[in-house]
Amino acid sequence: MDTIPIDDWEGASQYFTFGADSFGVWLFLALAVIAFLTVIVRAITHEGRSYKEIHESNITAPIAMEPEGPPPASEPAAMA
Amino acid sequence: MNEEVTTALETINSVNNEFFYWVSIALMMLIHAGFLFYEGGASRVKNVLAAAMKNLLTLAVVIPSFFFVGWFLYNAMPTGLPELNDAAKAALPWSENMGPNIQDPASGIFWGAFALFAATTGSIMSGALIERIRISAFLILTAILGSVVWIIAAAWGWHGGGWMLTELGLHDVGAAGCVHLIAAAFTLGVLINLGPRIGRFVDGRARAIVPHNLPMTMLGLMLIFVGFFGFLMGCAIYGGEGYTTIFGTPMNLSAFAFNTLMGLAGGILGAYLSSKGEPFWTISGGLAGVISVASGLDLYHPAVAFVVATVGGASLPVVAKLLEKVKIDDAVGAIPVHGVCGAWSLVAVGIFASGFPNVTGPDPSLGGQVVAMLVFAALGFIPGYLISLALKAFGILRVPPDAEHFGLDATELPSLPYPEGIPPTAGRNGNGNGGMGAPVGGAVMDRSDI
Repeated sequence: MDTIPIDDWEGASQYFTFGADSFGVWLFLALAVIAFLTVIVRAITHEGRSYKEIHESNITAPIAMEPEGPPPASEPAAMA
Repeated sequence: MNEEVTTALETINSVNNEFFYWVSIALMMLIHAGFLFYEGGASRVKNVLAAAMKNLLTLAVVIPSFFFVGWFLYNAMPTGLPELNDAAKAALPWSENMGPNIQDPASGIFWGAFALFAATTGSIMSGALIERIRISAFLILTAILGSVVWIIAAAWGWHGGGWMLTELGLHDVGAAGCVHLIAAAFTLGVLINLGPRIGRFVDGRARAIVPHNLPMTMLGLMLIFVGFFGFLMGCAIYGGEGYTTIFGTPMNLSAFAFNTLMGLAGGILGAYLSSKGEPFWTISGGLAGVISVASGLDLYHPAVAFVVATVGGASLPVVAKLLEKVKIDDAVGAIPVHGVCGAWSLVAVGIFASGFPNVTGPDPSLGGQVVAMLVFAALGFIPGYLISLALKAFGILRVPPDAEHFGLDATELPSLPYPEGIPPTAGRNGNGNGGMGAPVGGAVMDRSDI
């Protein structure tokens, strides 16, 4: 694959693969954006499936998570 | 001076310039290491890895999205609306400047520094939302905040031709407004739609959900302090022959050293005083202090910086209490530290440094600083609120209650943070507040535990 936009280092400026504003750069930019968006979409679907499994399995937390009685908020409570 | 000497000096200056920002970028990575520890420690045991992963992924989504659109927006929008000027064309991701280029040693290094600023805005938001936001929703929000919202603010207010400089005379040398305030305002909008963690408010009363590992949180903040020196390096324009602010006024790192350190100290002492020595607030005060003096780092006498920072640090527990009263669950105090102190930083320049000569636009004034503060707050809050409202409407903003009870590590990630447990620490009344004997869901504390 010929990706090299220069013939000589003498006088060269931009020299990255495919060269500026080329089909190759546009193609890889499109692929990069698709990969980026795929990760987001995949994260959404993974979470949805995982939450559904938790919900349907009736798994409860090993130990009760929340307190029985509400003690008053204390000074460091503000920090939380 | 002969031509060879001139060429050699130009080369040295160019290399120095690149290396200066290279070091800035490297140090700013410590901010993200710090936030990772900070939020991991602040989480309960069941959510530690989710908090850490959120910070790691912040870098991974903001960097590419900032490459795709962020740098272009910065260069296209200083006058307000997007313009396809020469700088904007050069910032398009397919241009000859946005990749290896022998003749352009500046674009990559400046883009890199700004990309790390962008990621910092995401990290500022991250901590406030821990333990109940879906990671995917956070990634969407952080990409928009880091690559669109804050960089518009930067183009308007943190650019040599930005309209806030040319029209208002804004002075915000350390980015208290366009990084900290805008990120916190965006976060506040998200928090309103996200709601508090289960158990945070019971029968109308606030409950403390304490960090599972406070020393880890404190280490994180110390790393953030180190990283901030890199952040502030990136706030200086270094051309190889001296420094200017991003507004073109002369400065040097010596000024930054005086006031960053005095601000750090003042903030810590202010928070120590007002929180009665509470460790989380005390160390957060250091960050609040640096942010409080950030806008005028180049202008203040160190004693002025110290007092401004002390006020900022002292405000933290007070503002956090006010947020509690309106049932806002800001899990790490991002709104007090970054929002209120960011706003205070801008106003403080108006109070203590009005009239310093500007190179472009009117001189800084209290009115200009206040207007800029309001613009930053609105520019952050409105998109944060609306986008999170849309995510909420689609049901993809918050984890379901049973997953929140169970913990995000177990539901979202294929790993465990402490498979062999962590050592318990006994409170004065003998109750552990963490460790193998403690509830997996983490501790909710009474004053008598402390």
